[in-house]
Amino acid sequence: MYTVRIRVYYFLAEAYDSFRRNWVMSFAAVMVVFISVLLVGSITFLGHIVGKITSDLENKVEIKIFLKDSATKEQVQSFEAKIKELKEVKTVVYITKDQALVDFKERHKNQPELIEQISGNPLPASYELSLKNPRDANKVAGKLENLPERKTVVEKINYARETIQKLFKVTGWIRVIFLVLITFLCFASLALISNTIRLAIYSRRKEVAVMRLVGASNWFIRWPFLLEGILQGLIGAILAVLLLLAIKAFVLAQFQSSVPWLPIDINSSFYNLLVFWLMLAGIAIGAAGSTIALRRYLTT
Amino acid sequence: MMIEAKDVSVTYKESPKPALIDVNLSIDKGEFVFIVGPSGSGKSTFIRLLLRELVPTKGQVTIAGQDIIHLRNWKVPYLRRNIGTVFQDFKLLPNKTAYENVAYALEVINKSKHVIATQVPEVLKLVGLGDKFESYPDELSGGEQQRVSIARAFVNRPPLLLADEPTGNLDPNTSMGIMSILNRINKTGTTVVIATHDREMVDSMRKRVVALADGKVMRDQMRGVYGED
Repeated sequence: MYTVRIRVYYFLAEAYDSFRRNWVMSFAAVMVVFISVLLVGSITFLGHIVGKITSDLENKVEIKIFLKDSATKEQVQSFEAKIKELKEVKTVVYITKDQALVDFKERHKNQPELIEQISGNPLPASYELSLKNPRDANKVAGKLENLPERKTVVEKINYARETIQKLFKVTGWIRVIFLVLITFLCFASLALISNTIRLAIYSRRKEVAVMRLVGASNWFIRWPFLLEGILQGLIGAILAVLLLLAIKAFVLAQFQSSVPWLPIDINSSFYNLLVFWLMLAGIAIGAAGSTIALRRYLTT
Repeated sequence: MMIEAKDVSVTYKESPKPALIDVNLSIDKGEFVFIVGPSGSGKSTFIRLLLRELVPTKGQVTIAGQDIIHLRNWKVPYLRRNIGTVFQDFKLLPNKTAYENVAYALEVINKSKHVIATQVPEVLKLVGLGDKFESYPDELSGGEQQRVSIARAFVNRPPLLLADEPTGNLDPNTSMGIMSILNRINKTGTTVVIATHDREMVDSMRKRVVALADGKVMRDQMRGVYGED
């Protein structure tokens, strides 16, 4: 145990020492990790926000069923029971004729001449259905069309069929683009980081040669490099995460206040998860990079 | 027997011409041997072979009775701890002092601080650098750097010391100093094998001379001279 403790201290001291002595190379490695993690993190941020906006848009997709004035109360009730039974439907909101008129007047309060022209209440009662999965809009509409009440109760079924299909096409593409972008960035970062570490170790290959010459075991040589790599990866990742936090707290908040109707925000749980993975990635990249780069000098 | 090579041939991947051809050589414990020959004769290959930096294409090599050809890779560092090595280019760590460079060889094999603190000054004094403990390699002359590297090679009291052109970068006077240190180390019982093409040096020492040419042993002579190239 005693020797193990001495060893750990020795390796940490060596790692710190060489970090300090080779600070230009260390700085380069830290910077590369920093920039890579920052890029991946910001793109993930952006992807998260775009995802939120698109799913927000998608959730606005709803089906509106206008009822015939002639439908009896019993007919309407049995119809309501049937649409509530549809498994794709999330919520059903009934809007009475009176409510519809109130909503109409509210919507057009800037156009009093339009309201003046209305006599009595020409607006129909209606149901507004929201769906568990907005992509089912076509299916649900089809089912509604086939109900027997379609003729007796329902005046018209309204949903923005074309718009919905276009919207889903666009949101689908946006998701694919972001996925490709993030994957691509991850690979580019990996290549960049492993190259930087390889360069750093190449500049110290004489040191490695001397270590082998005096009979240092491979792990004895590897540990300081490994710890140094981890240290570089961790520092780079921490810097990037701090900057991401600043972006979240200041830049995004600023945007949000200027466009309040869009959900521009990062959930804390998502941010925490992202931070965890980015730090882990930083450490793993530092460790893996130095191990792989060392391998060609440790072939005995 | 310290070193025993039997029918050893080495062919490098890069070249069709073998670097060593059927070399047979025995070196006893405590001997002082020069391996001589022009560049490309196979001197360095022989040294690298003993360090297990390469394995022969054919043949057997044992050091102190141990087969080093079939040594597992992870055991190689332990072999090297019993062999001190000195090179033409010193191979010192530039960011460590003379003291730290020598101490490093002991740290690597997990010697205690106490052992390091007693052995390092002793061996540095032995090579005549008692007043240069804190100097960095670039503050030392070539001869002094080579002394540091000899101190590092010897601090662990290895039974075998290998030197590849130890005086290659040094002037004749400095070279004599280095040789007398190696001679003194040999007197303590350490087997010393030196690959060199320093004719003057070999002729003045009158030790055993093994002459290589084109990868073959041409001559093996006790109290020999460099002879013809």
